[in-house]
Amino acid sequence: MVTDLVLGREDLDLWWRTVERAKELLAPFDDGDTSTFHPRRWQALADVGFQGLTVGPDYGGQGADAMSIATTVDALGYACTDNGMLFSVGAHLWSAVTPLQRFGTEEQKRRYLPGLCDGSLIGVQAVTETSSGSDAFSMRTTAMVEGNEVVLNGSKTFITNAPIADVFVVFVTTDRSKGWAGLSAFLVDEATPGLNVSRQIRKLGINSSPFGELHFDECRIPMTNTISKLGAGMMIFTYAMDFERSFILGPALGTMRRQVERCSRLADDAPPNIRRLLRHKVGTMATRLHVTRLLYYRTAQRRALGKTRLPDAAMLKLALSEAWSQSCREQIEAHALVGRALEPEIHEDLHDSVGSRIYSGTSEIQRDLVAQQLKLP
Amino acid sequence: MPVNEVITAYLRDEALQGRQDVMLTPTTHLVEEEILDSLGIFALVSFLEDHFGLTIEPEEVTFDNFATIASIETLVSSKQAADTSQP
Repeated sequence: MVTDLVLGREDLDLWWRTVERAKELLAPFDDGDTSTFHPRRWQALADVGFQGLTVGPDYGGQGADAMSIATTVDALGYACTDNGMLFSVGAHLWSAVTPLQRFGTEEQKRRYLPGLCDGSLIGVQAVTETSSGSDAFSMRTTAMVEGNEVVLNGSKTFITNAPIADVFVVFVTTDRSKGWAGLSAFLVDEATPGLNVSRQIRKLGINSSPFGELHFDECRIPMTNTISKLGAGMMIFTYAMDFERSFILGPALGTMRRQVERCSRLADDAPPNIRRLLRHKVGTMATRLHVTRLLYYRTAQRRALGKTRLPDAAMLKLALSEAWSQSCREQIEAHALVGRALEPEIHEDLHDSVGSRIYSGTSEIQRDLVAQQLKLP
Repeated sequence: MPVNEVITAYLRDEALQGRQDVMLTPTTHLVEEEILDSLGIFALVSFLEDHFGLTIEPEEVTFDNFATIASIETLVSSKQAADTSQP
């Protein structure tokens, strides 16, 4: 591979250590099956420290800084071929663990963070509704305050990890008249009466990451399950989404690196005329990988310096999702050039990449956020 | 330029795209009248941070702080006062 021009010695060492550690822990469960959620792979990744990267050691986490987070996530994408599992852990970490760590009360953090970090608890964020996809803040699930309780009614759909989750970070409206300022976030345990988790949703790709629906019917929770305060929902969601867009596709860098390596090896047995075409293909894939890698680590460095703005993560997510999708297609084309049959992982890569341009905000949303920074009308 | 005029000019140019037919006063209800939507609030926060050299924490992005130009002015002024009181 081209000499690393992005990471310093310390981060490079972390990258390789993470790859070795993850491969060692995942090896017993590496049967190539990524069709369903694999609890032992989940635990193996927790043992590497993935689930608790952003949480301080006081609560059982790794206390990693932005560059260490970025490096670790990239490395895990290289070490682990189960894209769905990596997505599930990412959703757990960025959208449930990280906002709880930032905005939760001491009691909430003590109660949930250790288990969320060590792999024994699975968390999930619930935002999307059938009537509010990209327009997330037009949600209709409500929360009514009744004394020292809150009563939830409504439904959520396309919720990552819903069928396996233990605790939900649920976003609802507590005052529709205030629009974005009337959204609130609550912690809801899976076993809470009035909460029904149903209908594992079939989708294209990331099959080992289960999606489902939540239905709230007079679901009562203590007022103390409020995260931060009433009306803080949008701020919490945006904080979580900024992390999510910055890191959810970090594993794709590792996947793309494997794709470049795999396609490079195709040239070994290829006739000269085909080898030249392959070189062009691999050269393009490698260039795209390094460009997106630069943007990924630049975004992490800006976060480390406290200089991130909303469009930073949007630009990164847009670039990475488009790059991964293109790389998956070119991997297939490279195999076609040499008439090589496709391994299952190659099919799965392509399918797994499709959702990357949809979740965490579609590519259209990301383009809009980037354009906003340019002050385009 | 006074703080409230800076905020008013920004909202006129960015949130209202220069429209002159919408009244903007210190007490105009920015959220309820949908002048400040979910994307606009973060653009405004970025602007305030860059223009006034402040840091606005996520906990400060609330209805009360951003309901009107007057409340935004109060937020900015209080943070400026807190900054100048630092040794």
